Amino acid sequence: MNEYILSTAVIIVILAIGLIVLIQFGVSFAAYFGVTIILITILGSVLYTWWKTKKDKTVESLKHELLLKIKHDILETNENIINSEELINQKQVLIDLDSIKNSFIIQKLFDENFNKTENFKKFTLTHMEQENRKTEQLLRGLENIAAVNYNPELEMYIQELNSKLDDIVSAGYDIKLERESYLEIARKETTTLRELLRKRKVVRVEFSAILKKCLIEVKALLTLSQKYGQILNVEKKITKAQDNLTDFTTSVELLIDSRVDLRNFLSDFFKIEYKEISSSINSLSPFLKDAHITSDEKIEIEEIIENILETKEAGLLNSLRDQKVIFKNRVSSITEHLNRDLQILSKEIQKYSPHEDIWMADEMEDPIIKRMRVDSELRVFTRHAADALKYLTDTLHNDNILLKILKNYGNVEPLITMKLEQQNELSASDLNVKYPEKFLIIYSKKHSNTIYRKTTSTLVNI
Amino acid sequence: MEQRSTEWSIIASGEGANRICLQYYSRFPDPIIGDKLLLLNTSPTDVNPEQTFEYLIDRNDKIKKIFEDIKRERICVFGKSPSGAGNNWKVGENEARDDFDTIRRYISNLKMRGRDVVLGITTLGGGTGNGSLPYLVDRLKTSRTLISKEENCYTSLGIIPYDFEAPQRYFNTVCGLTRLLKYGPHSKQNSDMLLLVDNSKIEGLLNISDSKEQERYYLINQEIIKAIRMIIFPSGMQAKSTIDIADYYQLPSNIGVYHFTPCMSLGNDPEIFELETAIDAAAQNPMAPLDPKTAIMAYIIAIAPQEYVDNGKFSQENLEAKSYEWALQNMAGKWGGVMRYSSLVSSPNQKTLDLMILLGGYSLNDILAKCLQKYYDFLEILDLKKGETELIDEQQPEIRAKIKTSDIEKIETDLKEYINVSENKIEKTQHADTDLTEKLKEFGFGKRKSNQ
Repeated sequence: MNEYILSTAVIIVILAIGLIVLIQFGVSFAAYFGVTIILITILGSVLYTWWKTKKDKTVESLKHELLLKIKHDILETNENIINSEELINQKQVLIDLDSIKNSFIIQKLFDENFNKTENFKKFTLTHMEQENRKTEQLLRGLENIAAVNYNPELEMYIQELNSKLDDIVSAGYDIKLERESYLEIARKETTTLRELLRKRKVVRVEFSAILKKCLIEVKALLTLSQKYGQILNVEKKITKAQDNLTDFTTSVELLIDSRVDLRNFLSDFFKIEYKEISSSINSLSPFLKDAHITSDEKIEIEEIIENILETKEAGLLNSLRDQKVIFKNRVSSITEHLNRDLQILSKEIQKYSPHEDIWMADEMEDPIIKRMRVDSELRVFTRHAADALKYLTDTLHNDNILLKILKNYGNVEPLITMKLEQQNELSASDLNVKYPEKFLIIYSKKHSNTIYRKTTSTLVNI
Repeated sequence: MEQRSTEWSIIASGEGANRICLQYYSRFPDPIIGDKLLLLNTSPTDVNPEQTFEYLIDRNDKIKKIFEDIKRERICVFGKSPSGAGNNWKVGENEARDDFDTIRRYISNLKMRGRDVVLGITTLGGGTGNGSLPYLVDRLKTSRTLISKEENCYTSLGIIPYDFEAPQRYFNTVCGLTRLLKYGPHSKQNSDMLLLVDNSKIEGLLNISDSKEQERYYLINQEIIKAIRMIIFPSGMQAKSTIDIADYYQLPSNIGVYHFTPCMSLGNDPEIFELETAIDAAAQNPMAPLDPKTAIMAYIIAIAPQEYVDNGKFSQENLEAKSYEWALQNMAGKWGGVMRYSSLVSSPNQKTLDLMILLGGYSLNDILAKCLQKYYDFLEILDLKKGETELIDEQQPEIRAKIKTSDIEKIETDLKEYINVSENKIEKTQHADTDLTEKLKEFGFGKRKSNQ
């Protein structure tokens, strides 16, 4: 449509120019102009037709494209079926595929090497399209048959790998997350041959990644073990496993053997460390349940302790050591927190200016806290941490009580005065408050005309 | 018929009462009161939130907003004098009488309903509140339909001036106290219940005599507000034993003695304090001078943290038992007074054990001993020879009102009559000696003949 509009516009423009030329320059000049324009138009039309012929698809080229597609489809199906033969023999399917190929060779559309011939020009486009559709259906059918054959084999293959993972886990490797990911892939629904082949590929990649992780783990364990002695046979096994990572059966066996050997080797060393840290936990646990420790802190330290106590396998010696550091750091931070609380509490108490016989800021606090160092040996750390925690929790408990007493003293003092006036002496049992002795002692310090008799727990007017 | 809980409204008349009311509204929002408050004054400059919160840092925008919120409908300036009542209660009374229609319109805006409580607050030493509140209580009570169709309870809170204040203030105090107790030509009971608190006594209890003046006012007012809140508390759902407003005023009105004073012990650590100790501590802190041994009525209200009530540390039964023990030893008579209520209120937001003993019917001896000397000293200088005198404010001579000898005589007669009844009840309570055997015989017991 655009072509017509363009042509009309050009003709109008040329006629207009021709009219102007005729008026301005006369008939002869206009004739030259007209002839030139006619020649240019003829040339332009020829060039345009040629260009258009080149651009438009011809019947021949369509037949050519169809033939190429048929070839591509057949070869792709062939490749998929051959790939599936890694797990199962697909001989019958391949024979059927060959017969499809042969039907085209017989028609001489392809030669013996399945290369396209020029014979296709003899066939109509309709024939070629029919051949293409028929081939598509046949190939789809073959792929379905191949998939039905392949699917149970793939399931079995995945199960085999899964049981290998069981063995790896039993050997003590920590592949919990990776295994989850593997099982998720394995559970994915697949139906077509192409999907099944892709699934196998992904499963293998995932399994391979797990083996690499196990390799790193066992190497780390080897390095740790080498600090205690030479273990050449394990070293060799690990090297061999690394070289044969693509051979799953061999590498899994070697990795399992290596880890079991190393676990046995480290067993005694692990027991010593486990006993030491368990003993530390036993010593510190009672203090870590104190009411002054926040519930969040308690939950966190309980989780750490639980993790430590559940680490019972010698192959996890490295992990045990890491957790030991976490435990020490957490105990240390709890101690710092308690110390801060105690300092705040001390400032609160100081506001009431209690008599020095009743309360004094403790100079012991600083050295007790400072000598507890996370970089010291666990045994030493435990002893110092226990001292610090005991001191802090006891002092916090006592100071909290004292602060409560001081806060409430203003309300109790008039009662003591009243009862003293009535009876001239007041025993702790007659003052119906908690910590009556403490109230009476504070009163005696504030009122010089009274004395507190400790033996009888009585406040007496002098 | 739909059941609804009792709601309280506050009518605060005079500068001091206005401060308490503003402080209550801004600092202690209370669903039972909400915004049902009315500030009355004869001088617009006296209703000033800046004065109430002078010593607080955050008084600016927040307080201004509160003031703006209530200004239109909750502040009523009445009377013709632009500069107030000039500390003359008679002026306050006259102005309230003249402008009653204006005041009534504001009271209608409070939308009170039947059985609601009207808490009138006034300082007894002043002119505006002291003069107007007794008149308003009487007028509202005698014309019930002005507020609601049903009966309302009129509780008044009178605040006794500081010890150091001038005789004129004490003259006002005696007049105001009497008129809150009895009013009108027939000397009828005026307030259903009169709460008396003393500024100097509260200041002493709080130990704040060294604080700045505005801070002292603020803290004393805060203590009064806490007492009001504790009186209101036992009518709520969280009370283990409810004390309704009728429990507060009906029996006292029936026996003709209806003055009360709160004794409070607040902020007690529930771990340290037992109920028994809190009661003892509260009894040590009466908010007006009084002898508990003469008290014939007591309401003992404890507010405790929910967890301590749930775990059994504090219980209604225990409070009642301890209240009884305390009353036996410390109140009038061998039964520990003639009327006693105890109520334990548990609150999840409460951290401390707060306890109030609202003592009633006690001898007014200690309070009047403080007031009467200055009252008579002031009366001496009044020239009442012609049967009346005109009280003129020296600084504002335009404020003047005539007080007649008959007014004074009536006030004294009413007060003496009330004291007479009160002392009589105390005496009877202290020396109750009913012969039970005789009474049992009167009821017909002991007449059966023995078979043997």
